[in-house]
Amino acid sequence: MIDVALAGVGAVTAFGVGWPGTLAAIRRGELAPRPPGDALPGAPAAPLALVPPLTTFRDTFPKLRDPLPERETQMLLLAAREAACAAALELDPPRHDVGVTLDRAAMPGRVATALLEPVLRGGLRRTSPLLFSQSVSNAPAGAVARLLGARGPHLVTMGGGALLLSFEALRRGEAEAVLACGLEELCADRLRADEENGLLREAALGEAAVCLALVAGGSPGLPRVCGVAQGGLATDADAIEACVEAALTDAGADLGAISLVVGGEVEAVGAEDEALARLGWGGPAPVRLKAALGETRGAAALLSMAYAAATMPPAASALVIEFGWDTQVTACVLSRAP
Amino acid sequence: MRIAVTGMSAWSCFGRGPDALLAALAAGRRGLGEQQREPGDRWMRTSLAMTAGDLPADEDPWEAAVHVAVQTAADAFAMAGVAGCAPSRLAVANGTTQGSDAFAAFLRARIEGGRANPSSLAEGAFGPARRIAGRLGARGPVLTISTACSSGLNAIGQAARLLESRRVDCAVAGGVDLLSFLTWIGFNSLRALSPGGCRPLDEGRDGMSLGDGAAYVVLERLEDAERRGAPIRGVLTGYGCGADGFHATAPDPEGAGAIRVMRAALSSDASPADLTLVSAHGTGTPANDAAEVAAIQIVADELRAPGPVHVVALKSQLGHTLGAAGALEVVAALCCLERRLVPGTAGLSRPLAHRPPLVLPSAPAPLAAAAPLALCNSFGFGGAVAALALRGCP
Repeated sequence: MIDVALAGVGAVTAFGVGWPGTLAAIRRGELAPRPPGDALPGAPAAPLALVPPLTTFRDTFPKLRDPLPERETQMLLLAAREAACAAALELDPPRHDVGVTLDRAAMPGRVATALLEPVLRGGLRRTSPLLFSQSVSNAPAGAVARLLGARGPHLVTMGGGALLLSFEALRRGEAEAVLACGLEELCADRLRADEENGLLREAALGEAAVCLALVAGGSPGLPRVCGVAQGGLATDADAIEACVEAALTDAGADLGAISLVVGGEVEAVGAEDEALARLGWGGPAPVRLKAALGETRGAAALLSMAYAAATMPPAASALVIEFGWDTQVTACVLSRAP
Repeated sequence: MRIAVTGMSAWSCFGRGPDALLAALAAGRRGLGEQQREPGDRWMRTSLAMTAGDLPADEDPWEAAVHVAVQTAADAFAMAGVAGCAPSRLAVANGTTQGSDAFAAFLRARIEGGRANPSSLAEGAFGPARRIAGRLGARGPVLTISTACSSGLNAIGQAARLLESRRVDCAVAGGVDLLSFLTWIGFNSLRALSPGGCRPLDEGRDGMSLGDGAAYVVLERLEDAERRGAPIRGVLTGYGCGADGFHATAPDPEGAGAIRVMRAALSSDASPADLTLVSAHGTGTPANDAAEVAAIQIVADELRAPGPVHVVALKSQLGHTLGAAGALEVVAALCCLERRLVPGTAGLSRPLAHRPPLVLPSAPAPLAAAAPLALCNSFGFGGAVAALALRGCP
């Protein structure tokens, strides 16, 4: 099987545009969630980690003209471009062996609201064809493929799976590189529904776009993605234990080789700790990024991987555990050569 | 790729089950019905054929979509007779786009001052996959693929990949979509809906016809299926997926992305020149069909296929069922290969320009090839392109 390496990271989070800035803020112990105020009109008062205005987008993509792309696509384009540049991926002319995958937890809520609300209030003549083109979940991934030149495998998953499919595509030799992306844009109407459904009680929700440039092979100095597993249908200790074991087996590693664990969602802390204890984990407590970044759902797993890759010591391995919004567990093992 | 299809199911405008689908294709029936949402507005769509008791009477739109998905997937699983598969080795992959009217209903209630029901939004687009997994006891990867109108085909292709890499031993894959208000207003605003019903692959085509549908297949590695004596309904032999990279909604007029994924899907078949049947994406829109037929012509010419290579589009019979379309057309192709049938493109009277080995039939006919190979295409907004190669039972 072909090795998979992490060659570059890009991110747009509540700490701003750029992975180095986000990483530095996490390391300083900053916490992004705060009451949204006027930043998201109509949203519940619960703290949120919202991405600040994307003031650099038009300078970064000067050929694109208003009103497109939509904000969520702008977020993803900025993250993907940063990751591709960090990985020194040559995408001009466009490459058919570089794919784009995207995970997100929900369909484009702001786009759907902007499309539907005028029609519901004022009738069919208020429909925007431009907005409709952006209402599909893969619109941001399509923009990355089109504008950055990545014409290989093109997949969008909802609630988890893009990491597994990216890893499989690279290991199989179906692509030389994959821009593996995660995205979460918050929408006031959906947040109100989440509030009524009792989903805003625990972790503050957060916005983010993240992209990992995963490459087949890769140079020895790059962090390697050694194993990925996904499964279960509940965030309980049994499911977490089984998934971590499967990821370790996939990586050909054992828990003794792990020096860092980056854990998943707040609600599952007890189950996660119980599963790690059952597996014999005796290392430091898992690092969790939710307090800093908010629960970024579709972007959370890849942000955790980016953090693990940036902070794990040389000649060490890290374990990342994350939970899809569909309640599936994903586990990933990373390692770095001496 | 050698992935066996050991179970398949469909719920379409022709009813529930592959037999109902095959009977309609063999008869060349169209499932389109006239619709009118506003005065002066006329369009055609398909709706799921229902019998009493198929759905609870008070089902909300989202629950209806989930219910249809779960029932249809369970039908396929029952046909396959899978027994003894460890839960962690059973995967589910579901394709869907907008899924239902849940978000529109939530917004409408808020605007009109009523109490909006938020629960239909709690589960999100992954509801069907999660609940299929719950019903079937699957604890392997559960995937919801949302690549617009190629979602269902990509769900099947990715499930096949999980089997190839031996991550799982069995997968239930397909797609579901019930026509949503958002989808309808969107295509209406693009003036993409045919007033009289779509006529794919026809010189006079004037747009698409939307519809409801769900379809699933049960997949296993061929050697495993043969070992357990499973009923093998067909074999997936290749898959390609990629990005067209041309425009947010319009296909590349040169068909470059479509050509790439068709080549990829055919490249892993042992005898690609056996290509006999192409189930085109064939929406009936001017841009899609012209580019697609030209792309198929290039691929067939490259193969030096002796032909005839029958190119058909089933959306004038089934409607464009979006996230379910690719899956529904795969099940239709499998049924046709099994019964040695070439379905026609209903409503086709003036076929788009083509030359041998391509043939664009308008009516069903017997399939004469000894070892037919079929290709199913699915394309979507955002430039998503995918193709799947398949053969009848060995």
